[in-house]
Amino acid sequence: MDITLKDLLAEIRNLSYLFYGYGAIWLIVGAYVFLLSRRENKLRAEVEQLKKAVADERQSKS
Amino acid sequence: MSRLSNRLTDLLGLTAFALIIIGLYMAFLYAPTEVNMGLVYRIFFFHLASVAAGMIGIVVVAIAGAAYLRTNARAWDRVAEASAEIGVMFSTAALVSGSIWAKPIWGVWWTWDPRLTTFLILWLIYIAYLMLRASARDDARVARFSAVFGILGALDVPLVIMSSRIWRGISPVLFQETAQGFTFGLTGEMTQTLFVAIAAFILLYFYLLIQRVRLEEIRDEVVAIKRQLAAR
Repeated sequence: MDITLKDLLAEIRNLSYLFYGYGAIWLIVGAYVFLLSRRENKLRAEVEQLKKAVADERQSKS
Repeated sequence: MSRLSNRLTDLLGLTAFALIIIGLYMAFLYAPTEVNMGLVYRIFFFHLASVAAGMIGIVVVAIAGAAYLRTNARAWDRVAEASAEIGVMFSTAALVSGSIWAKPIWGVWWTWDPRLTTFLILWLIYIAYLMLRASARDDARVARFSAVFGILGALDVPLVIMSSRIWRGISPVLFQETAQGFTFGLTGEMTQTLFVAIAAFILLYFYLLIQRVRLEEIRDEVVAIKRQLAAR
């Protein structure tokens, strides 16, 4: 089968859409996973800080 | 959380990751190129996987919402909220990748096809659900109202699935009724690739759900300690 320049250009254009499609999916999933891990780290740090505050308060009362 | 459940969660994450790698290999190197659409059809595998994971997320919101209304247990409310967020994330990936696929195939980024429209409505319903949840996080009334809202919103799921048959849109219909009965409009290799991609994203959904529920548990712990401190 003969491949014309037009066919080749259409395939290159298709390839760029394929790249954008997969790029968009992984960008959205990756960004969500990143945000989730950042939220977890922030909350864990807050729990530690609050536990320390509770312990300090108990110590000062006793 | 016990060490066993931590290990099982890690195993779930690793399996999802391995299936994603296998699915990507199959999508690019194993499945044959489709005659009419060319290379761009390969978006389809992980686009449909995103749709499947998004829909499961929304069905889980409805199931957890119903369980919350019945038991009033905060654990079910956590599952519903977490699932809605992950469902919206996968649905967003499906909408964006579908739009990118549509441009070279249909010549437009978006068209008001019945399936696309019903899916967009579903996405908007759950964006509204998340906004409602964010408006009053620790209010039990909001949790109950959200549960009802989540159940009613999930009624759109069968409509999305059946829309192309009911209104005859231009979206591809995978299960086709022929003289030989119901057939799957894909070749063997394409079907296998699609199933691997869907399995990978469904496992990823459950892995993220577990992580997101744990996050909500930590947040509840923070709220409890703050209340404890405020009461003194």
